[in-house]
Amino acid sequence: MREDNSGGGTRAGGAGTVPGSGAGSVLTAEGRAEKIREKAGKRILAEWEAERALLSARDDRHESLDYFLDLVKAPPSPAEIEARLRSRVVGVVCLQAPPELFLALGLHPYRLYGGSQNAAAVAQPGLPALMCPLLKSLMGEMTADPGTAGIPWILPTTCDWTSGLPSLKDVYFPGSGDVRVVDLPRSKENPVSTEGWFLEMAGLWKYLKTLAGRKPSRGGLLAAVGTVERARAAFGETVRLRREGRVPAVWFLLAARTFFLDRAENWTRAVEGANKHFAALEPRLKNGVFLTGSPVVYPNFKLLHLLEEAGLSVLGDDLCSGERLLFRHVALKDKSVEGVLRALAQTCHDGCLCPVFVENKRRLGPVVEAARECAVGGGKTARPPGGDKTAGSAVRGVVFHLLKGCHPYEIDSVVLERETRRLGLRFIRLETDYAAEDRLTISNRLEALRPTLDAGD
Amino acid sequence: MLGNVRLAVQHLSFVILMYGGRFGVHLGSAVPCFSCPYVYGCGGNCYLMGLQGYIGFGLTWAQLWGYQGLRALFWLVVFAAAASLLGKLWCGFVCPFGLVSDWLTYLRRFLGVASLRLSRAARARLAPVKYFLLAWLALGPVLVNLGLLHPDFYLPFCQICPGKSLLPLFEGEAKYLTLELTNSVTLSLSVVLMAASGLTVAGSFFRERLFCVFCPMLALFNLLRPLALARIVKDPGLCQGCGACSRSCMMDMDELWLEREHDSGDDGECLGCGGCVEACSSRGCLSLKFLGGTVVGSSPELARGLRTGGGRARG
Amino acid sequence: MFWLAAPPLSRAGEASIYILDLAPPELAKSGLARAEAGLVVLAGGRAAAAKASDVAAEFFWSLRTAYLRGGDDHDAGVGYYQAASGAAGTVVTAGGYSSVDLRARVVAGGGVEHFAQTVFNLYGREGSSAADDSLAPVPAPAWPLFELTSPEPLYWPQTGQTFFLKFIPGDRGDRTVGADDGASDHDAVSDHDGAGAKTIVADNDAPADNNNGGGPGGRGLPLTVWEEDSPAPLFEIWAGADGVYAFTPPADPGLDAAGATSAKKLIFVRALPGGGTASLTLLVHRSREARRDLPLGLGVFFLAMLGGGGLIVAGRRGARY
Repeated sequence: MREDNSGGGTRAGGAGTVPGSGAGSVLTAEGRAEKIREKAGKRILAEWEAERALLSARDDRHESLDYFLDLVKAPPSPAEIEARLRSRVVGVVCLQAPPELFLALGLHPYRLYGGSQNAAAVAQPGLPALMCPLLKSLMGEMTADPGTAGIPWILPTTCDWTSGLPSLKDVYFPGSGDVRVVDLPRSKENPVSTEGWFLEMAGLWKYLKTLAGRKPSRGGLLAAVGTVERARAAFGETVRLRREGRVPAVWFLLAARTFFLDRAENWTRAVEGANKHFAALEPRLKNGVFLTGSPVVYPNFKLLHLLEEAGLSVLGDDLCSGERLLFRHVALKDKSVEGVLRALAQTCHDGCLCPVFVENKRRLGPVVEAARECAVGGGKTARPPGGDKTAGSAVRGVVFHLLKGCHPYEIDSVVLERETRRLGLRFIRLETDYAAEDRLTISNRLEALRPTLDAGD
Repeated sequence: MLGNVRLAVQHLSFVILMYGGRFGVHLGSAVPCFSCPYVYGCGGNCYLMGLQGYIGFGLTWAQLWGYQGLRALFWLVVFAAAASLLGKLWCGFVCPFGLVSDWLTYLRRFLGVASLRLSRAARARLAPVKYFLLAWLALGPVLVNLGLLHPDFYLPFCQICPGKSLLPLFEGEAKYLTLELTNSVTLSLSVVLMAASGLTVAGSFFRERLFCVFCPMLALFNLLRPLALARIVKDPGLCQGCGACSRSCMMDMDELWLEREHDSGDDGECLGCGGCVEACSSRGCLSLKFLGGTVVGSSPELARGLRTGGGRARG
Repeated sequence: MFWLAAPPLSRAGEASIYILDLAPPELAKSGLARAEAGLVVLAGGRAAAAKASDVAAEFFWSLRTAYLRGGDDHDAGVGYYQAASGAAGTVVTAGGYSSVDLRARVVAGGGVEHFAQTVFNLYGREGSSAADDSLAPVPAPAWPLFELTSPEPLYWPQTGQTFFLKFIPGDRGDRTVGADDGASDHDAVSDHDGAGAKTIVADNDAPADNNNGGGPGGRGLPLTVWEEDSPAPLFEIWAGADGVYAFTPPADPGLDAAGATSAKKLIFVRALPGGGTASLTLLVHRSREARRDLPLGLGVFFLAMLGGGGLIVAGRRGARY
């Protein structure tokens, strides 16, 4: 009889085994799958726990940050979240489907992306080698917890990997939950695409209403907008403190990671509490950099640790897993349901700086804005002297995090390199994945970057 | 915050311009907004009335070269100076007729009725109407003086301006909500006036500041734009394209949102309400400037001051 | 009789042309010809004809009631106040206006006196800001005088507006009984564009009380109402018990069609003992308010409002979110 520590998958004569000759029972397919799931789950959990331990051991750990650490005790599971929040969980790939729509209907949005190297490693065989690590890790996490595949998904057609994800899901998790595709126009700032995305959002709204099984009130939708707006306000304060060099990147991105793991109101309160702690920290503005590129997702904080070790201070980012998590303030003029849908749609489409869009010239905006806001000396808003938009700013360089296999960001890095150099900032592109093998290389490159930040133009 | 300031200034202006004359306040004949002289006791006369009449195109050629011509020039200079001083802020912060339109908008928002959206193409088609009305306002009195138009076309724009019929209601006067059966000209003009007034009320309920699309005063402001001291200015380098400014715009303008190269701002349909500055969460991207100095600049804090959900409607 | 009228826009101190029109049928027999006075300048209590006419005319003018805007030389400040009647020393300044009585007297053949009076708005001369204190008031002559009042504001005399005329004969003969009893309290009844006066030549037969003062047999001598160029009087009105004549000019289709500023002259003539006459000329415009139809206006208004709103609502019928 094979050793079984999975709790029943390989009992002699039980499900998952068949009597075999020789050494004993043989695992059935179901038993094998269960074993794989168990093994994957353990490996992923180990990685999460390791990163959590690393963060817990930091000198700047504070009790106000325990909320976030508690939420990442283990890889999140939709079933666990559903039970805890007593709300139906709906998966969301990418951020263009605004969380307000879900909250208004009592649904909980759950962002579908992974940051685990081990999950990527245990992901289904046959997946492309250079698949987007976020989605490969997601596939691996679904291996450990197929429940994620079972929940309804909302899928904006952003990049090619995302668009191909439903097919892969069907292959490896046949008969799993519905995927509601929302067609994201790849061009922005023209009436056709804006109207097109609004119609998609209106369709999504109707779909979510059938999922929730209830008719929402306009007041409920406005309340949800208010809830997210309060979260945005708290997070905005964190950003402001970050500009002053008071918020280490690991805590910032950890907080961002946990937004989808709990009720927005709880998260907001926790962020407000953490802000009080951050405000008391000493500012660290030296060797300030702006982090951009592919998302950095817990538990893969490799780059963040390396940046810190190299003495670089991340004063801003435009990652969709970071500062762009909640987009920008949703200005509402028309408070009818249609008006709210239009406002949310436009904010999440025209306001999105993802390089999947055809033309993304606005994407330099956050870099310039952050540079202006980071005055040397820690002032709140800096107006750099002279014509140079970044002169006098604590932000001296841009670090481009490029995940292998991410073609949109690869193209984006070419554009951004030129634009940032024109602004007088140093630029470094770090192409990596979730594996740890390139830590030393990255570290060396960052060490080499640091002195150039002080040298000026 | 800026929206609340605008609300307060609008209401104060309404009281002054609608009732100020009863308390001895009169700001002259060149007020750059709809301070309607048909309101007994108004606190100043809308320049458009004078421009059509006794200090403008209503003068004969002979009068133009006399004292009346000098007086007309005087009031033109006063108007240009006042219009330049505040620029489009007259429209967004002061105009009493604009406030009446805003009240209808607040009612619509309270009821949760969706706004009527005019497409860019539709707005482009409607925009020239204000210039046609400005030309009518100028040409009509000239034709009357030349005897080519019936004398009852005197003050040709005022005869069809919804302000004439609607603003006196706020002092209890309904006599301009009538058809004037004196002759065919007065009847026609009053029919147009009643129709315009009814359409303005209905349209302004569904679409914020609908009348302003057609307002010849806005046309005048656009002609004087190079002189404006108060401007709304954009730094395109800081724009992140979210469209908040466009959604907040009373006139559904998307020019500001789409601008990528120049520091454009309050041209075309802009009413200088500052809603875009308040809604923009990119620090320093949009600014309300006076004489080049920033009065209010966009920021996340200012944007977050707007109430966006649950609670009372944004001002 | 003769009558006189001021032009529509009269300014203090400026040359104005006042037309003295001597009604030929009456006076042609006496040898007086139709004549026009030349330039008449109101420069004081007395005005003189700069150009002699065939008939020597003597003028007198006075401020009836004055509404003056305060300026630098006035202590009143910005605003309006009422000056004392007959303050002839005050010249109307820029921005102000006054209702003015202008009276004239001619003596026809045989020493028969004829008097004419008109009431008009005198506007301040542009650029003038100082009152002309050099003008000395003159004693009012004891000429026959018509006192004109109206229960409605006198924007300018209009058809459909009721006028009350009190005839004060001065020292020229019998006055209408009760005419010196002070202003009577007349009901502010305005039969806008009142039709149906007791006319002599007009087609409309429907009588209206306020144009008849109680009909023949009313007190005193009647007033005849003429229009310029009318060969005969159009109306004959009698004073009421209080001695006041009431008249509401009926609507004039010609005036209605012509424009808001067009006007016609209405001449009220009262015979005097001794053969003379006294006349009052009013420049009457069309009614500003009589033809306003509120129900129709509201109907068009609401039709447009509901129609426009309905179109918008219909256009978005399919959109439900």
